[in-house]
Amino acid sequence: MDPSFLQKLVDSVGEENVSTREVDLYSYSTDVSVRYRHLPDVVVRPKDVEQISRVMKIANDHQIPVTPRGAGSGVAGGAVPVRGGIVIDLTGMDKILEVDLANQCVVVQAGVVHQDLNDKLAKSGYFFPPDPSSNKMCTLGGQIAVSGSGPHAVKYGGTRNYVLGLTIVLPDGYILRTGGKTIKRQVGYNLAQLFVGSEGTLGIIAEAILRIMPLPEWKAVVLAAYDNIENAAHTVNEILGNKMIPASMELLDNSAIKAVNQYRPQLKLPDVDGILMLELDGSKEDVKLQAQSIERICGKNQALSVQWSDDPKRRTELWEGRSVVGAATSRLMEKYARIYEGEDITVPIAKVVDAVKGVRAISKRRGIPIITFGHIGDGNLHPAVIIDKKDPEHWKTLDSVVEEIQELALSLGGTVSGEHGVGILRAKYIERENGPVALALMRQIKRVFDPHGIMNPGKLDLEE
Amino acid sequence: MTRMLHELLRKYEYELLKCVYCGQCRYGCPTLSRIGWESSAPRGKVKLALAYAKGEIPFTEGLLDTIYSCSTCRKCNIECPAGLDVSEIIIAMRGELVSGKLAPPSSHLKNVESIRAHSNPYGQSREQRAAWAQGVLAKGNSDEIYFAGCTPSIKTPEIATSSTAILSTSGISPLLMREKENCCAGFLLRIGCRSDFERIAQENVEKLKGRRLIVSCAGCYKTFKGDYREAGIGEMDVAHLTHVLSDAIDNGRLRPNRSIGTTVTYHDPCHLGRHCSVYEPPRNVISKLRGVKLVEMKNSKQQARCCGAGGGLKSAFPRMALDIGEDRIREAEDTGASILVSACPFCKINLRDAAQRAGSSLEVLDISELVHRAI
Repeated sequence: MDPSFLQKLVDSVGEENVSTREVDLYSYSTDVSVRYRHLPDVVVRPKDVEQISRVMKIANDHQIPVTPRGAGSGVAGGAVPVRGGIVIDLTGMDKILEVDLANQCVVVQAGVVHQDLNDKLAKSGYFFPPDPSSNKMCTLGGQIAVSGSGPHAVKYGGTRNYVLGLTIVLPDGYILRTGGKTIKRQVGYNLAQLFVGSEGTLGIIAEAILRIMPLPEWKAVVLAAYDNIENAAHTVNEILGNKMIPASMELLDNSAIKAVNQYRPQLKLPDVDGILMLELDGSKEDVKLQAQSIERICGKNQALSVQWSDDPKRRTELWEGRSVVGAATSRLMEKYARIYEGEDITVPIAKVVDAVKGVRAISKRRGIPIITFGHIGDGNLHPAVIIDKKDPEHWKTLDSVVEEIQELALSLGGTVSGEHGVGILRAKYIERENGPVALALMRQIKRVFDPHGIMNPGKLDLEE
Repeated sequence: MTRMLHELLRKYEYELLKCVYCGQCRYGCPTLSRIGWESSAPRGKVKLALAYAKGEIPFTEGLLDTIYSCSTCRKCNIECPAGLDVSEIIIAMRGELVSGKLAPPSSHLKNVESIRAHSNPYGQSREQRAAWAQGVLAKGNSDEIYFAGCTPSIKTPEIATSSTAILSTSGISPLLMREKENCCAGFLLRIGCRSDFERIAQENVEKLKGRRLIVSCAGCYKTFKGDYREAGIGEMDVAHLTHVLSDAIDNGRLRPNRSIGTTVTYHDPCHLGRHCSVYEPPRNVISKLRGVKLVEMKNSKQQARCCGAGGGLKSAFPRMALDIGEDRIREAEDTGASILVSACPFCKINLRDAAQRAGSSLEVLDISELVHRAI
């Protein structure tokens, strides 16, 4: 890389925040995705909006590609710098700038780790509801960029519903502050919302104004065990049909149960075909009434057992076990590891039973293990395909399996991604799911914001 | 690819393949929290170890720094959903670099040379090592040995003297090795000097076998208890001081009757806690002291944050070790405790230094000192 260009970066963010060390370039060449790897030319770690702006101006002047990155927990290759250039690591921007309880919102830098925000808010009796399972380490900026929402979207809605405003650095370095602390706002196009889920292709999310909610007075967790997982899926439909909305409704199939038990043996989840794990919240009395109703519905749907607990320790442990089941599936079979592909399908709620059955049928037909779990309450399943990475035949089968899973979701009126995003992995589906006109519009929007095409190139099929 | 690198790949190949790079190991990693770059995350180190073993990246000073920027605290092991023994992979990688004469880093060399010459990392003679024990009476034919360890013997003699005093009060008069005591060699193992470790470990097994060891140092405990066995060198009968004190208090042999009247928080040493699952004996001891209120930090037991001293981190990166220690001091201060107690001389030194640098009013003590105050 041109030394004078590097010097400009050093002048912009300080020498300690610029690296071209081999170990750093290699470390930023991938994210969770396994198929994509490309070395950046340089990595910078800005500390504030102004530093990002300076870096973007330099990149724009030299037309150097820029790939923004949070904690690198994305699974779709969104943070892989496929055209080289600059990786902007935002994890150094980890300040919670303001907690504004009077307006029920917070102002955060993009690199704040999700759990750090909720730990801080809990002291005041508040929380930021959308919580991806990677909440212990994912950054809020990354979460907004892929609109990752997690299990509580059933009741509380997704990340999008909580973004009131953003500070964005545009590709030419201009700092755009859009939105604000009001819950309602209707003056022209909502540009902040356009950036939610834009995966770094339009500009860099540097700061966010996020809505927060009061913590519920009481919480409980319900565990319902089934000898036929389809009955668990039926239960979900019946709970919703009874006009009840639990805070979350999660499904784990037998292999997912085994993975959780291996990760946290003390949880002792029942070894059955499927488990529904539900979180209920509200007043103490209300939670109790909800639990009783749900117990009845589970029983009606042939649940083998239903337990519920409002013990905070048990609840926390169960959710911790649930949150890492995706990666824990790698423990299930010797030599097998999870591949994050076809892992984020979402279908209309009424089609959840068909989706669960469909994934199982694909696994059986192709002879490859697929562990099924996910946020069944909002139709979002995370099928986990595990393969022997050293077996080339497994990779070939994987391609077919992933295609079939994605096709299944689309055939049920669903989507190939509920919350993990498109990146490189699902770029080929963007037109299939949205249609050619929608893709053409997206490409035009991209050109308006990023005429030189420097922002996270090679993603979302946005290049013509 | 060298033969040793081939062995690293063979030993950990499927484990490395099982890593899905989810990044869960980022949570609570002490060095990542201070360095920030992805290469310093456990995930980054695992990736780099694999890349180096496969010949995808060359050896550089940056690689050396990265692989040695780890306290081997095992927080990442606890977090890893895929079940990787991340810290062992890092230690194995250090071993590969040492075998290739590319490591240890120069900052460790004087410690290594000192262990080879004097069997302690601090450049002190065997006589100086034994100085703390002058005047300490001990039976010559006991079945038990109080193995002071290099750090209590040389750097924190107050731990060694308090330990022997309270053991004596408990009716236990163990043999002291004095100038014949060797380093346990745990430091050598963790920085990758495996052949030196094996040589000293073999010597220790021959010298100490058949007797029960009582140790004050969490690192010595982990080394004797786990590492000697895992290396196939021998099974040692070893107890940490907190095991002995906990039993002595429960059996009525030790009655710490003097009221201290203070609030204490306990820092789990990584080598005692996450490495060996010893969580309750020290808590039992502290909670039985008169007038002592034990309060837990936000992150304790399995989730305890590292003090920053282990795995050779303090000798290679002293400033970072203190930064990490300061994070722990802040967590201890949040409990409202007046005294921060640990059960490891390394933790005591680093936390004491960090408290001093931070201007904290917390008093940092080893558990032996706290108990000594109460008798």
